[in-house]
Amino acid sequence: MNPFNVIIVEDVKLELKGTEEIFRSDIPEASVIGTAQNERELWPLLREQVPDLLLLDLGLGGSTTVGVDICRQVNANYPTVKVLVFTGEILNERLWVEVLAAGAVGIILKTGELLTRNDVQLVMDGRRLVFNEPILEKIVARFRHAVLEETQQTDAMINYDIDEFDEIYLRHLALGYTKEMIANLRTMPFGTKSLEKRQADLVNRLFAERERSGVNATRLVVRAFQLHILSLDNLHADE
Amino acid sequence: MRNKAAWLSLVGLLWLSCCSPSSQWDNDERVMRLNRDAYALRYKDIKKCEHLANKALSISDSMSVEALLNLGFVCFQRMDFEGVGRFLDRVRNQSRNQVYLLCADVMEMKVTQRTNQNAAFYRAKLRAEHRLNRILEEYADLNSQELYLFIYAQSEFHITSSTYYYYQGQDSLSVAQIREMEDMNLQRSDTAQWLYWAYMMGSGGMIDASSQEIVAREERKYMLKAYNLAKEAGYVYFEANAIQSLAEKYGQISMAKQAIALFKDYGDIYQTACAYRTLGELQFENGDYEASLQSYAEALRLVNLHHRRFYHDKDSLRLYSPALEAVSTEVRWMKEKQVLTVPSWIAAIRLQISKSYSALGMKSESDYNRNAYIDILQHTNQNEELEQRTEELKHSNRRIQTEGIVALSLFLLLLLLLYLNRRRVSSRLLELQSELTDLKEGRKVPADVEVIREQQEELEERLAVSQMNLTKNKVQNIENRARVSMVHAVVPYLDRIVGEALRMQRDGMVGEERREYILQLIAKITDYNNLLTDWIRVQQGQLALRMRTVEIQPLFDIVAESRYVFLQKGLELEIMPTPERVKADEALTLFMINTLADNSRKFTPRGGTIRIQATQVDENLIEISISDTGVGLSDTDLELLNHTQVYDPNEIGKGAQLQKGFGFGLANCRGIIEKYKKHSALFARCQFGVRNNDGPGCTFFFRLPRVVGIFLLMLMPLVLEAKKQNEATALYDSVYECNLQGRYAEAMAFGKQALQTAGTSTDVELIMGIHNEMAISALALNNWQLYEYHNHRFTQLRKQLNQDASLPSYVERLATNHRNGRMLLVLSIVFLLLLLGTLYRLLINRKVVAGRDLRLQINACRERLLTEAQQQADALADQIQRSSFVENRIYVQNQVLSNCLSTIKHESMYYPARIQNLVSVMQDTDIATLNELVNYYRKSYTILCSQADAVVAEPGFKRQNLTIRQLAEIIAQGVRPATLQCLQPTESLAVCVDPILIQFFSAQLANVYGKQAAGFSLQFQVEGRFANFRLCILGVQESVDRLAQLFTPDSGSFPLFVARQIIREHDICLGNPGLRLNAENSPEGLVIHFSLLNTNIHKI
Repeated sequence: MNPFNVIIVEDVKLELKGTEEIFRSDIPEASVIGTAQNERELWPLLREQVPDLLLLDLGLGGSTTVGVDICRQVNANYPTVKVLVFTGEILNERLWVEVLAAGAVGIILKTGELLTRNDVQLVMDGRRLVFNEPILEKIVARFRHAVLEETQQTDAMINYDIDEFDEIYLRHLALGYTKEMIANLRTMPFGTKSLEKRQADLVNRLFAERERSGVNATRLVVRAFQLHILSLDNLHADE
Repeated sequence: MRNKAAWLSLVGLLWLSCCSPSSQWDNDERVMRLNRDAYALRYKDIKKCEHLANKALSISDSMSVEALLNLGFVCFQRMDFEGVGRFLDRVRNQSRNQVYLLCADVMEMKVTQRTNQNAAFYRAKLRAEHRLNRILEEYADLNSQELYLFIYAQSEFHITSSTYYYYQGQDSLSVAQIREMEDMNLQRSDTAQWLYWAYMMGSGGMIDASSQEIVAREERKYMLKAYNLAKEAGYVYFEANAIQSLAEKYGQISMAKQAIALFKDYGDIYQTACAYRTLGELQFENGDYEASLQSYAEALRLVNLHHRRFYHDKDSLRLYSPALEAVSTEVRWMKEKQVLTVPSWIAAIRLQISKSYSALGMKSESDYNRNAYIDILQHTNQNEELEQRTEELKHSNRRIQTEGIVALSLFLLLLLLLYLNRRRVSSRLLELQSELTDLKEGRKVPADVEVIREQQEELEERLAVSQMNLTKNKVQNIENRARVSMVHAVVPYLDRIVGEALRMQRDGMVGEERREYILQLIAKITDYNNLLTDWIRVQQGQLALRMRTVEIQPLFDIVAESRYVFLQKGLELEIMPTPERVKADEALTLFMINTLADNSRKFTPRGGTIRIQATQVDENLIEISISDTGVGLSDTDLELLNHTQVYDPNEIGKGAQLQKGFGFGLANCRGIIEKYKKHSALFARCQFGVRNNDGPGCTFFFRLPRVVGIFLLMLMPLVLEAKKQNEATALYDSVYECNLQGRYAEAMAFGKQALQTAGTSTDVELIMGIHNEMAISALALNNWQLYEYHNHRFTQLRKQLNQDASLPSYVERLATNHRNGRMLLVLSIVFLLLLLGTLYRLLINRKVVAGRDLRLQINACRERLLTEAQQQADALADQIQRSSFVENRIYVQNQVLSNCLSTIKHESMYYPARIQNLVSVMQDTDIATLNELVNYYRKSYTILCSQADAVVAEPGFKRQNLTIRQLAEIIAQGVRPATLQCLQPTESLAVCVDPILIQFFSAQLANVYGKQAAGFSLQFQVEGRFANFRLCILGVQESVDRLAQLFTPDSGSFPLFVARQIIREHDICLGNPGLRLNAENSPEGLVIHFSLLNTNIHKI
């Protein structure tokens, strides 16, 4: 790794000490040219010397998003600076999304191995989306969940023998359409009577025998969501 | 031809003379004389009396009533009671004369008294009394014939009443009746009745004097007078009664025999039998027991003769019958309605027979007769007819009520219609108009609306109280959330330690700088832990449990409302009803039941059953259990759940290959029970646990102190009284046993003790039983004096028990109801006729209809007011419900959080010290140990944090859009007594906040700075999605160092940390992160910058 300059933004002194120690012991190529506890201290440092890497804590001064604002501003005003987030916000996923959108190249959570040489190396090599294991685990879990949902939808369509017209019918029911309105859709070739039969048939397919009594349109639609036949991400009308 | 005509004329003349008024008058005179003579012979010669009465009857039908009465009397003397009834019916059919009817009623009294028909006696007595009073009002109008009959009837009424009360053991009433006769001057007007009175006076118990000697003397005087006059005037009946009485007094057997002869001559088998009984008693006193038995046998023979003669009964009474009868002949006679037997007659004989047999040492025979005597006493019970009379009275009352309601309704309807009729159209229209105007302008409020408005006021008060509680709970909640944040604040330092330990392991060496760094981190953690401990200590005392007596069934009913949720999963929810009550916090108990039920629901496969019940462990403990038919738990899981404080809940149930873990619900429940145990000694035996069922599944349970019903406590004094009663009962049992075993002397001794122990007990049956047993003992021991005493007491108490005090009033009420019923019927008819008439008048009056439109408008207005009021009341009720629901939820959350924090404190406090000790002296070889320790600490801490996070994940935030002006008002309330100046009180900007939390936010700032501050000022600036506020605390400054840490744990200020938490809550819950909180000094004072979410004014 080539030598590089780094500014650390951290408002907790004890944490700052630990972080500096990591750089000192594990990443000798790094040269810590300044530390700041808040944005007021940061801007003068940047004006004085622009670093290669900005190691940024998010929760500064009691606010969860000061770090996001700093990231956005640094990205806008100092585009050469790589902003790596080093944060203790281990549950605030929305914040991670926001800071990534603000231009951060990666997020390292203050848990587990904390900041490693490898993490910094990747960033300095120009890689984006650098995450340490704890955050990667959560991202992969989310990804897995989304993929599973998709495959579950495909599986459900096959398992319950749902054709495109069944799907259209169920989706529009969920959107509050009446049978008459659905029958009038351009994409629906069937009349109201046929749709009633179709609904009864769907009930038989989606419910066990002893659960079929008293199933109304709402229950049918909820069941379709439960079985992943319908998805909230894909809930739109055809017209 | 002429001769024929003459003969015909003569015959015609003769015929006419017979039918002439003067002949009729002669006949009447003759009949009157015959009746008088028959009456005079009543107590002298019954046969002659009958003869003369029949003669009078044959002569004149119109004057036959007296004859019928005389014949009735004859039947009575011969004990032909049915015959009496027939003659009395004829009297009632033929005559409307009140004096005759009175005589008939009195005769009926005599029959019913003799045959022990208590209700019939009272009915006859009531009728007789009414007639007596009516006749007395017109006493002066009575002719001579009526007068003498009236005197007879009146005196006979008193005599019969006195006799009835005497046999019922109501001596005072008996004496009172005889006293009524003293002023009647009977000696001049009716010798027979005077003799009867004198005989009653002389027979005992009627004279009240200062000494027994005087009483005996007076009685003797009356009796001798009666005897002498009776003998002189030929009143055989009274002569015989007097002799019999004197025979008893003087012990003269010859006199008793004389009485028998006289009664036989007179023809009265009842009295003859009584005389034989008297003879038997005298013979007994002389020691001639065999002779006494013969006399009693003769008496029984006469009783049998009576029953054979009139009821054709083939059964007869014997002195002794060795064969066991299910029902004795006497009792069968008493129960058969067509047999009018005389129970007291037979009872007196049986009593004496038992004595004679006892004297002869014939125990079985003696017992047989005594039992017969007791049987008769038991069945001469006024209460026997109680149920029937109650039904009769109920039926009568219902009829009266119905008639009363009908009459009242008609009356009210009539009044109403009359009222309507009176008020003519013009005044009515004016009134209606005025009423409508008053209603519209609110000057008049209908009564039902008034009621609802009063209810509204009450509801508003309740809402205020509920909201106050909600505020209090929310404040505690946000403080707890701040503490949880504090717990999380430790985590970064803990992670740093883990990181450093890993580095040590990687490098294979400790390194002094690393050691020092870890020690600094540990010191920081220790500081934070100490701070947390202090902040938790502040909370204690604020979170008092709301312990009270809780009925379990209403909680079960709430859980049962979610039955459908279980059904959706194909599970059956069984909730066993229970009357039990426990001492507990109601909200937390419901929380535990719901938590455990939800757990069971998650882990029971389709088709299973979940059962919730409360069972009594012992008299002080109740176990509430939730059982399922799931897969059960492994031994390891059971051990963890029951005995381990900190465990990873996701690991529980994994052994059963389930897809998910249990969550923190069980840990929270256990925490609650632990808190109970610390609350007071009453809860020391409380317990939470889980066990596998014998069949499939497991049972989660918790135990709470049982509450005993208050009525049991109230029974305690009675228990003491019952103890004394039990001793007496035990002694009575001893008396009974001794008698059975023939140990009569011991029985007497036990009996004496039993009576002393029973003392003034109200248990009449017990005391009566003791006297009976003692009478049996005395009889066996031939101790006649004691026997007479105890038997007398037994008989008195028996009669007392037999009495039905309600009987006279029952008869009176029935008669009253009958009279009232007739009156109500008449009134109903009258009201109905008037009603029809008024309706007819109303219907042709068209002008009344004209006010209809106004009335419709008024009704519509009333309806509207009522609906509005009701809607407001309903809305308030809904608000209260919501507020209470949220309040309870937050209360439970607070309790659970409190438990979590306490657990965190207890379970994790000692790790920093251990790590510190290790790190201070560790060598390179200790690195692995350090890693193990810190990783274990981290893992435990993560689990505990997760438990707290699970609780705070539940919503506690309530959004509301407020204008800046409204926000300023809330902040001003928070900073009181300091003042707030809002420099931009605009209505054009709104922010989204939780008002309660924002007020508390300002209160926390005031808590820290309020005393020093000269006031507060508020300004704002809009910046995109946010409104940034500048709250200046005038006259206050903070140091630069402190400013950076003001809202962090490092400041050590709990109020400011809570303030930060409040802004964080707004940040998280509003879904728009970016809210800020920081402080800086300014020339005016300390400025607190905070931001809130901006909402468009149009969205309010």
